[in-house]
Amino acid sequence: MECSDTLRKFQEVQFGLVELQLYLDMNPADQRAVQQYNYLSDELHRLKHEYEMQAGPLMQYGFSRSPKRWVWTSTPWPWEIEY
Amino acid sequence: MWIYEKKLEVPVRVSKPDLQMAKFLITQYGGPDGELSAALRYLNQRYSMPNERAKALLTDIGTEELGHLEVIATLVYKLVKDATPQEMRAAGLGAHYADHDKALFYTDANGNPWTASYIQAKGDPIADLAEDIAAEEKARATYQWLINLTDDPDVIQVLKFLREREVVHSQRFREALYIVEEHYNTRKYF
Repeated sequence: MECSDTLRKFQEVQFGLVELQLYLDMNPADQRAVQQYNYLSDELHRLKHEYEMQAGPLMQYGFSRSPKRWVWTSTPWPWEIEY
Repeated sequence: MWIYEKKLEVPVRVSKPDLQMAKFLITQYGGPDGELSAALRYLNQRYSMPNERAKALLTDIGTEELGHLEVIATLVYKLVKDATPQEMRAAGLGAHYADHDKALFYTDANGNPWTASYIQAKGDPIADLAEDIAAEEKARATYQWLINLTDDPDVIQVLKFLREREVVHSQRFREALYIVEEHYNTRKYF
C-alpha cells in the first residue's frame, strides 16, 4: 500500500475514534460504543505502525520508536505534505 | 501533557493559490470565532467545570480544536506560499506583508490581532456551556460564509468538514448542558 493510502486510512480510523471519544464522554455507559472504540483503537495502532515503517515517526517524546537514524528533522511537516 | 502528531486530522489540498481567500480564512485562525479561541476557551474552562463528563468533553473538544488550528494554518500556508509581494499587495495583503511577510499571525479577516476578550470563563457551568454552544454555532456560520466566498472545490471540501465538526461539537455541548441542568434541577428537591 502507498504511503499516502496508509495515511488516509489512518486518518479515517482516527476520525471514527474522535467521534466515539466525544460520544462516550456524554454516554459512558454505552458498552457497544466502548467495544467499537477498542476495536478501532487496535486498528489505529496497526495502521500507525504501518505508516511509520514507510514515513517515519508520527509522534514525539517516545510515543513513536525512532529508526536507527533520527528522521524527525527530515520527514515532511503536515503543511508540507502534498495530499 | 500534549503529544504532537505529525499529520493533519483531514487531508488539505488547494487547487490554486488564492490570496484573497487566505485573507478571509485567517479569521478562523485568530479571529473571534476561530480555532485558537475555541481551543483556549474549552481547555481553560475545564478547571472550574464541576461535571465529570463535561470536563472530559472540554478536554477532548479543546484538543480537537488544536488540530483544526493546524488545518486552517495549512490552508492559509498553501494558498499563500508562492505569492510575490506585488501579488499580496494587489489582494489586500500589503499591510500583512509589511508587518509579517508570509508569516501566519493570529488575526481576524481585517487584521485585528487575537485578544483574550474573544473568550469567556464565568466559572458557572451553565453560563460556560451556553457560551460554548454559541461559539460552535458562530464558528459553523463563519465556515458557511467562507464556503460562500470560494469556488475552489478542494478548499470547500476541507471547510465543509470543519463546518460539520462544529455541528457535532455543538450537539455534544448541548448534551452536556442538559446533564448539568438536570443535576441542578434534581438538587432543588433534596
